[in-house]
Amino acid sequence: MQYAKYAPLLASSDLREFSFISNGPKGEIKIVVQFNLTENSTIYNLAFGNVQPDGSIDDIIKNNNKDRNKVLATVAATIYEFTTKHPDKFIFFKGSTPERTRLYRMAITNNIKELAIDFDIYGVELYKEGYTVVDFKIGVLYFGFMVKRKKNYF
Amino acid sequence: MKQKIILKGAEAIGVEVKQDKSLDKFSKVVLFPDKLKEANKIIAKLKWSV
Repeated sequence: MQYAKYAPLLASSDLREFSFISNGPKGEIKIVVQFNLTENSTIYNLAFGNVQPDGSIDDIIKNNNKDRNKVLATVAATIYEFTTKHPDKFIFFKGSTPERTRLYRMAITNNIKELAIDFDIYGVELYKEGYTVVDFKIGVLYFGFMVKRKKNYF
Repeated sequence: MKQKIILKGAEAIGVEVKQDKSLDKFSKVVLFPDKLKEANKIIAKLKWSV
């Protein structure tokens, strides 16, 4: 992503957990990212949130640190890193609110050329009683998103 | 010659990555249980049209 990103990105040994520090008007806020295998063995769920002073994790709160794009770009960097180890897995993500899902769509849209080099990008749509995975298209509202690493041969 | 798959990590897009073994303790813990529960509900009803 063309946005600035936080560094360093701290990573667990299996590259499923990451953390970094958001720095802004509200001070330093530790953010953790986790990839969890879902009940479908080909799909991981991506979630992230703020580590609260008591050690609990809050994925609903707005941190008001005026660094939304920087945080999203850093979370995107975790997808790059995770998929070096798990290249055949799909990653599902959605916002905790419709507004956040819209933000993710905007971030994907604004960086689609760069992201599409390395990832197949899908939208998840509501369809009747379930959900359908479709190719991501700019300008379409989605319920959630999925990405999968492309295999680039050299 | 067999082709080699090269997958660039976060460092290739300008983010320094450091191993932090203190994060390993989270590997057996679901940090976002509600998110995972919701994801599983969605994924159970997922159909592909691509």
